[in-house]
Amino acid sequence: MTPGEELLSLLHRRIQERGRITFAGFMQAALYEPRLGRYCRPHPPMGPDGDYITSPEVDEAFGRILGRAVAELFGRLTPPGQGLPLSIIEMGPGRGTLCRDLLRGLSEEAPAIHRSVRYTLVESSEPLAQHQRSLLADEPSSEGRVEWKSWEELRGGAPISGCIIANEFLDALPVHLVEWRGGALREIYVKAGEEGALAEEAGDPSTPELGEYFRRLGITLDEGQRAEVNLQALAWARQAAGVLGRGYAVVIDYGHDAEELYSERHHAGTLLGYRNHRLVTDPLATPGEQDLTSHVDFTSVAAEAARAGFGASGRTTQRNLLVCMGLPAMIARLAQSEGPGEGGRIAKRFALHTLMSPAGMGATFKVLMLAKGAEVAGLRCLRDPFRGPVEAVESDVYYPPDARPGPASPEAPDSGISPTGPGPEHRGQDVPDDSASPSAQSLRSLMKGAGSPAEAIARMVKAIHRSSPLHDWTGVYLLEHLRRRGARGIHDHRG
Amino acid sequence: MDDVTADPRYLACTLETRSEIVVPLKGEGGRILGEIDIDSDRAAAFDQGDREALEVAAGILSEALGSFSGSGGTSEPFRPAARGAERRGEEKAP
Repeated sequence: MTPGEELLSLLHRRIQERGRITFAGFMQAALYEPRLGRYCRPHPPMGPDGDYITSPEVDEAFGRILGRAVAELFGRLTPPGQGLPLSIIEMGPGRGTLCRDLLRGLSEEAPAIHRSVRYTLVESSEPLAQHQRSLLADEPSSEGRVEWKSWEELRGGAPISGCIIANEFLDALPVHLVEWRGGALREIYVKAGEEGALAEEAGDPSTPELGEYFRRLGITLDEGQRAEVNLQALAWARQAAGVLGRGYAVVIDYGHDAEELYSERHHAGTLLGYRNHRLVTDPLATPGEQDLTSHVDFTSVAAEAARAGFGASGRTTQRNLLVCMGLPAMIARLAQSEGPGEGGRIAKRFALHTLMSPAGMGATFKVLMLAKGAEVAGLRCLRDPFRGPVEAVESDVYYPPDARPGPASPEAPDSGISPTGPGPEHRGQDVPDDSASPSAQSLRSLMKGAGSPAEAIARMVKAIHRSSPLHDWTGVYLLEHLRRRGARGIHDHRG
Repeated sequence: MDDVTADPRYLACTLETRSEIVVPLKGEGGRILGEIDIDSDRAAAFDQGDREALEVAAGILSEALGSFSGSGGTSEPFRPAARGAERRGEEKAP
């Protein structure tokens, strides 16, 4: 019997014994049933050989830049000159890629922070934890810094100072499926179907929390409209407030405000499966063989977090965060580097653009920053870099003054893989301001000479012909500009 | 097109579309490779500057498309899927 057949038969047995199960119960088994659920199989679901790609798997720049954001947050938590032990907790760390790249980045760019940090991976899947251990085993920047703990263990321990990262975590928590029928909220259950398959059945909600969820939002679904309710995401927000004594929770995921998520535009809900990098619209098909995911309701998560003790919150997009924290400078340096050869540079450039593309991951992925006993006001990582074109490239200084690296640290490992990261010449107190670099200068002069945003865009597009690193900015600015003109999207009608 | 509702030949992708700008991607000998097609919910959203910008962009894309064609087999290259896709409205809930 294959693991998929075994899981299907296990689900049938449960249904036979207890009657129909909620969709959340089904999803819990399909993803997390030990040995049989998708996340508990030997072959990880994330990565090019799995079912879907994540930002950390696209390029190591994601982890490095998130490390800069974490360094900025730590600057808010640590009084100048004082080194406190700080914690990073990562929820659902996948193959361990984000942990590896973030710690690599910190060790090279902010060794003072790197030295005082402890990184805890929270992983419920034993096979994934094994992948993480093997990835991090030979990694000098992870040595002595990483540990694995269960969420329950962390909840039972002393509150920590630091930062919880949940990158593509909440979207994979089991959700209740609901539908509005005949003026009432109905829940979708899973029952035994024909010929050994599974089937849906509507019934009264399994818990009053589902009705309460929509009452709190003041939202009523349309007749026939389907939606997902992620009660576990709310529980997680409450628990995170308990785990954190002081610090930040950084949620990066796809999703919407409740008003948008539960609008007619999402009449069929957002639940989707991914298998071998292809979309699957039937979540009951092949349980355990495909990933299942739904969009996050950021309104409800933020509101629950506020009720639980997070005093402040901020929002941005992945694109804005990456741009504010230096991705364009990385791209500019890539254009000037002699690293991996032309083919490698193009591949790398494509990967970096994928992360910040306004027509893709850069805009689909949103960042919700929750703060407990700390402020979000004035954080660089939450700025909108597109408000002013000059500010967007203003400087390359990301770190609180006393966390910046001093003279090259002898123990700082040479990663040997990053032609894009700040090189030794960019370290130290005299970190050069990007505004002095040729690319920023030419960008500024282009912008200054333009009579209108549209003309500025045209000038920047023309800069492509000069094979300047500016051309990496051009697409981003062009799309941002068009979006502000009300453009909804760009259709690919290539014949 | 400043007001798409004024032209009965217009095929709307969405009901909200009010204006649209389209620039062709031309290959060798003027062969049409594709087009850049941008819709807006606002009437007359695009001006001459936008047109110029997109024409330059189209030229670069055409060049790139031209250099890609014939560079390999006909099979689609592997493109890893990032999650977060939206269900299309017409898809029936399962």
